[in-house]
Amino acid sequence: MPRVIFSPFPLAHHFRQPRQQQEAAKLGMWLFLVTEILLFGGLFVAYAVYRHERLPLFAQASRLLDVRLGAFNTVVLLASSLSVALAHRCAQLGRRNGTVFNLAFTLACGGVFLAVKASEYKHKLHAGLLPGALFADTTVSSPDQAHVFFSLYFGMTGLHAVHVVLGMVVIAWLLARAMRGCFGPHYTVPLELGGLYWHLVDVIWIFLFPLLYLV
Amino acid sequence: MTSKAALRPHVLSLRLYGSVFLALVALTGVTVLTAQWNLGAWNIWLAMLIASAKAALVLAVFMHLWFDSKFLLLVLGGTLTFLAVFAGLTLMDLSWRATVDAQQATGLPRDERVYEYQRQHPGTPPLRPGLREPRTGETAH
Repeated sequence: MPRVIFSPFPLAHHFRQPRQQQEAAKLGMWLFLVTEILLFGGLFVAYAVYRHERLPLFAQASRLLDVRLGAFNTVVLLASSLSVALAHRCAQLGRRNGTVFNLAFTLACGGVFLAVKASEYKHKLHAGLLPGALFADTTVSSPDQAHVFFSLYFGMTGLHAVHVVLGMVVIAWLLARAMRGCFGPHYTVPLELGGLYWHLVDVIWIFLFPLLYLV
Repeated sequence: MTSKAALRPHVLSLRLYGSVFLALVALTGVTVLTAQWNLGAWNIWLAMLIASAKAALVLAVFMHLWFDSKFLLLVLGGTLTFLAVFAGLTLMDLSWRATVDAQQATGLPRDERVYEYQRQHPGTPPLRPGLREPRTGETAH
């Protein structure tokens, strides 16, 4: 019986066809992604509880954030999501250079995002807009409570930033492999799964942006 | 050529990717714009509606959910259902607790709230189980 193997990745003996193997890999990735959704879900509910309790204060504290920087970062992440999807598409079509270019662009976008985030954190550090007892801003109406917003702000954006860093590590690894020409029309699974992770990080930011910057 | 194309799994068109990206950027603009309007309590729901639309676009096209096995939708849908139960019950508790527990609105921690209420209303029933009078010198937590 002629056996055709489409992928340089061997077919594990417990799978019937490469397609089944691919789908199993994707299902595993999605199971991981939904645990990530639940992880952030807890933070979103915590946000909802505190916002419900002190909405005027949240509105006031939110105005201390720079909407332009938040919106800019949103567009940067959206662009990186597009490019990582295009990297996958290029690999599907066998365009190695396209894959490499798009992955490099994604990585650069991640860097820009983190740089903007770092400058925002730095500004807050100087202005005393910090969580808990470190909060030192006196312009809000009740400084003894405004720190709650910034605890949530740093908790949520900080955890998100950790995910961006991890995503960049994954993208860098994919980029190195793409440059070696590992991916082609018949082998795109790591690209697709790494891309899924990156997109999820983008989706979380899509919710964080209006909740934190546009109260 | 056609047989070779048939081997290729699901290549989406550049036009689709591009228009989804443009729609996402446009919706970001819309959400910044609508945040300037004063719609009271509706602002947050509008913002969440727009964010959900953006997330749905990313999930459906960039993450290929629209074209993939429907089983993945079940996994995601199940997760979101349980997240909705978690958030929904918590918010219901927050929204209506005050109508059940009249002492809710004072903003004090629960123990002190009950104590304060009883101080102001002599003759009310004794402390419920699990609640205690604040010790002397104890501050709100």
